[in-house]
Amino acid sequence: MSSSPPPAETAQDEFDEALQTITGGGSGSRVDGDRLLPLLRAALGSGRGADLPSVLHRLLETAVDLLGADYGALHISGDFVAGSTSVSTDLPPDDLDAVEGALRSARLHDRLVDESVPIRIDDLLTEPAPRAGAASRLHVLGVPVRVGGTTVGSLCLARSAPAPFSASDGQLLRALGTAAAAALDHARLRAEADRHQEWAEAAVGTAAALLSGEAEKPYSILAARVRVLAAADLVWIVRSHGGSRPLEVVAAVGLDHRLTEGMELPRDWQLTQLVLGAGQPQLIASGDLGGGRERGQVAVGPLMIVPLLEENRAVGAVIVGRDSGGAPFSPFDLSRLAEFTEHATVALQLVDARADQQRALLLKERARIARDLHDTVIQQLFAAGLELRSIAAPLPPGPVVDRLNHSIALIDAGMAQIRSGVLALSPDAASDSVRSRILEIVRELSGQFIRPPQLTFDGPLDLVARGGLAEDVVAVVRESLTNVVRHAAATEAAVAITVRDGWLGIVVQDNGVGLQHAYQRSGLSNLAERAAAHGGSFAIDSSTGRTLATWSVPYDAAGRE
Amino acid sequence: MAPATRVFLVDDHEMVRRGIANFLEAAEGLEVVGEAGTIAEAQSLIDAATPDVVLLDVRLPDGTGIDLCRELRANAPGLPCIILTAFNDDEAILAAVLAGAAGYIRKDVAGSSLIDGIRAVAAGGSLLDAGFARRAADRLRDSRNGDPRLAGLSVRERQVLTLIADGLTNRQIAAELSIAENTVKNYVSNVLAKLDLASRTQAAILQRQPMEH
Repeated sequence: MSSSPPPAETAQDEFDEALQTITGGGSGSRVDGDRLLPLLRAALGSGRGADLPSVLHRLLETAVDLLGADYGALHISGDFVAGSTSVSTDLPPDDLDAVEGALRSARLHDRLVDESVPIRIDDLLTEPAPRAGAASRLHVLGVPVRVGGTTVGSLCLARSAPAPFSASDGQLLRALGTAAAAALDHARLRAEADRHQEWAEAAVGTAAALLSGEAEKPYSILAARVRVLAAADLVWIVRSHGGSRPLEVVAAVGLDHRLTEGMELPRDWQLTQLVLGAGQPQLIASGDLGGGRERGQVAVGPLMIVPLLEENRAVGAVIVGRDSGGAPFSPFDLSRLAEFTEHATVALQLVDARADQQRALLLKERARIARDLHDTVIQQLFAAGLELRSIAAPLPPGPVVDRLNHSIALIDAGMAQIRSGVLALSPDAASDSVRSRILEIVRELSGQFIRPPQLTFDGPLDLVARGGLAEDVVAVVRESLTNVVRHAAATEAAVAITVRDGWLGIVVQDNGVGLQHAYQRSGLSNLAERAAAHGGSFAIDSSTGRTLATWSVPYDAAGRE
Repeated sequence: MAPATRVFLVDDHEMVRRGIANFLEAAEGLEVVGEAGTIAEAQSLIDAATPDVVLLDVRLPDGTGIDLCRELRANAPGLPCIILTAFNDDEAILAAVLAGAAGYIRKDVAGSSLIDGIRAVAAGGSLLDAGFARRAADRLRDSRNGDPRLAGLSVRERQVLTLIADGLTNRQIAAELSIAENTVKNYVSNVLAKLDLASRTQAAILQRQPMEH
């Protein structure tokens, strides 16, 4: 496929029509060959080659020349292509001021754009009054410049020659106006084609980057690219992780701190509703898209919202915005973004699939390790431990038996660790069991310590910790370890949970500096309250160089729940 | 001197059986009268060995120690069984209740009261903490607040499970529900499969199919 844009059909047709009129097809006076030739040249030159401003300038020069004018002006209004104004004249500066002043006070450009019909004014008075000897009356001719049914500018000529502009002058100028429109249309299409190309190349580049396997944060890569391509101020990508779970911000780029990666899109924001309802790409004018307490803080400029689709289901959205007062996005921008997003989604799905595959492999590997630990390591340790006990049994008390007993204790500790390890490695551990939740907490916080906190369970924790007690047990483990991380400057910690003889105990030990400040102690009152609510107690002791936090509550030993 | 307590071991790890056997033989008044690594082996050897106590692992290559225990108890209600497990206490208690065992002994060394446990059980005692056993049985009976895995049980399976929680043997359940004992066995196996007991914590371990690499 050629990358050059299609010809500006509409404008070209209009031009042919105008030419037809001039050369005799219409009812107006004929145009002679001398005038027709430069017109054709100007028109033909307009469609190709040179950049837009010089094409427009040449058209204007041609018009001034052909129609014997003293002054010409071509105004293209602001947001259509890069607004361009051309002036062509050989008038002395004072006269130029006088002519421009006259045209301005006649509001010629505005009228042409508003009314969109040619305007001819004979004998317009110039003001301020021209210098002596200069013309004080002007003949003015103007035509609208129309692209695709919209008036985007005006082409005006003025002259002081005695004769006013003729009907055939009017037709000629209309033809030139049409040529200018063709040039504009062409330039617009070419600009769109260039940007189309940019987006398409970026889509390929982004897909390649995502698939390279080095992309640690694929959504952030995507968001950064989109921000540049769309000339946007911010890009947010949100995803739901299924069901009724809230939308999570998976990428946020741009100078904006209202949404950051990892946060949830507040449910009561209007933006959330827009995203959830986004079956189709949408263009949103600026406005306040927040809600609830945040109202007034989420005023944004123009927005584009394009759904992220997976198997035809919207699972999130790409939200692209400009600051308040920024230029609005066009339908062209929106469809480029939609295409780009679609391409990227395919790449992302491949990335996800690959990650899933790696995760599955990892789980299998973990499962294998867990099985090995259980099937061989624990059993071997158990057998070895029994062997040691058999050896120790007939011996009289003494240093040998002490050493054997010490070894046995070590083996037991090792087995307890392995049991916890096996539990942590098992892929389908019911995530709602208290045990699994505690393992998860320890795993989460393990990076904060030199080695993962030691975790031991003794007794049927899940049988005893039910309902509110379960929540409290989980919370106490989390708060205790978090306190250790925040305040104790500890490098090691151990958690032991015991369920026995009517008491559920959680003992958290660390090698840190203990609690130094009163405000740190205030964090502990929460733990004490949780214990008191179950008729239990909480104590903390830093006197031995280690800190020992003991939380214990009674349970009904007879088994009545 | 009183006759020694006769112990039968069922565990698929040979070295564990060796370790336990050596350990028990060294103790006063205990004698290991037979060993098996599978359910099939156990079934063919136990009767002839006439044990006083059976020590069995939950996980066996050809089934679960829970099934085996229930079957032994149906045939010989007076024969006490002890579940030997490396699982955690929650699962071990549930397993013991389901099996109708006299208790469980965790596979730790120092704390393992293997010898005391066997002696106590042989004398007609129980190793199960009554409070924990009650909680576990309640959990099994309670269809609403119980284990979510039990939601998938049929009406018949639920009846069987309730009777298991009440401590009935397969034979007693068969009489209670007026169905054949073999049918009860099938229901029990179904319930155990659905409960997938060890999988909550040990899914990885219980995968029987060979792992792909």
